[in-house]
Amino acid sequence: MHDLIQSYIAETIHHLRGDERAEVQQELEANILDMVGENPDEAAVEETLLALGSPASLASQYRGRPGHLIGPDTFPLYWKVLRIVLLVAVPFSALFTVIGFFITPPAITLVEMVARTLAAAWGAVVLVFFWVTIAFAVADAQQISVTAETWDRAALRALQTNTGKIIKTGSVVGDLVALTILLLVLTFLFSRSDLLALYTRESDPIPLFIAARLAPYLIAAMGVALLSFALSIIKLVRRRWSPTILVISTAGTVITTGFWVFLSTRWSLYNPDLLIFLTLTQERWQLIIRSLCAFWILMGAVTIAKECHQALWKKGV
Amino acid sequence: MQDDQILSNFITELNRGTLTLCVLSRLQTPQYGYSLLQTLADRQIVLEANTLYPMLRRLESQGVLESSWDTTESRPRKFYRLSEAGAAIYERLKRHWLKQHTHIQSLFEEEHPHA
Repeated sequence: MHDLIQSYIAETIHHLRGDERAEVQQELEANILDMVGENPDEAAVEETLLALGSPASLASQYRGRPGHLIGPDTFPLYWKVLRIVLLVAVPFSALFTVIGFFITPPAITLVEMVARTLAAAWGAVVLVFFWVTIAFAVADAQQISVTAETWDRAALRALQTNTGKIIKTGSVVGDLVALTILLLVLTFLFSRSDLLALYTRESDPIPLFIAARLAPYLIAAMGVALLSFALSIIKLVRRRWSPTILVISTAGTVITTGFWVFLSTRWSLYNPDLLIFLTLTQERWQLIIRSLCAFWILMGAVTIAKECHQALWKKGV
Repeated sequence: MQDDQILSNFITELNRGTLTLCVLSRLQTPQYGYSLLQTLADRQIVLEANTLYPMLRRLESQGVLESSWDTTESRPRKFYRLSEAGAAIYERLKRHWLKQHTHIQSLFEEEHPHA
């Protein structure tokens, strides 16, 4: 077979899924050889391959589905969220780094400090771009889009009853911004957990936690924050409450609240020096933390109740 | 020039659905891709190869067509034909098209009663 035909087919199937390649390759070989005829010259081969279009466009015809991560329906929203979150994440990341320099001044020059701050800001750009893109791509792949819903008589009637069940974009974007800040704080604390301390004029800072024990929990906390981040994006893409969204959102709240309660009650994480400094007994300290946990659980319950009310009962836009 | 572009877009839209019907009409007997392309071209049905080959594959994956490789010739060829379900779909689609054609024809006749 002509080299150009082989290269053309190889380039075309390169754009296809692995399990489709072998068969499309066979089909294309047979079809192209039929088209060019017996013993074709260079011109005939080129003419045939040009008529077939570029390998990428032919592959997209074979795929029969878009080859992009985020579809045109979702892209404007993706772009908006990406810009908002970047606008928050980049300055905050730089700010945390600068604050770190003030609290425990490192033995580096001013130029190195600027370089570290810029590196932290760039790290935030990469992190935000990665997670926002992943979350939107997953939402798009799962066709979590209003345009993908069945449009029938029931859906038409539902418009009337659905008017009070719009998920407010502003509040979800607010959640995304808050979660971005939380993620940045957790990432920062992962490398500098000693900064989470009680600062006094009389003595050195007293760390709140035992750094070595806290590290794995911080990774888990980042995972929980990322889960909440993904749930917020699903809400943003979906735009309307539905039983599925309500169940997912409720599960997210339960998991998040449960995790923070679990983390707060790991008594071995707390630095004993802190309790000595505060002149608190273990029992007293645990009572305070358990009270805070009860407050967290209450806040979680309020959030769930509020979302149920918005999704199921609230009237009007 | 702009009018030509608009017309070209309309023709593309018009062809999109009818080409499938044309392809199905020729697959009551087995045909391979290029022979089908030529058969249609002989009947003045212009269909690009880069549209036909993926379409055959898509119709096969939908169960409308069934295929088999013929390896008796000098080079293997994939032959397509209507499946049982595909034949039933084709008949219904053809009836729909003929009905639609009649309705459109009557619209044209009203517009030009002496045509």
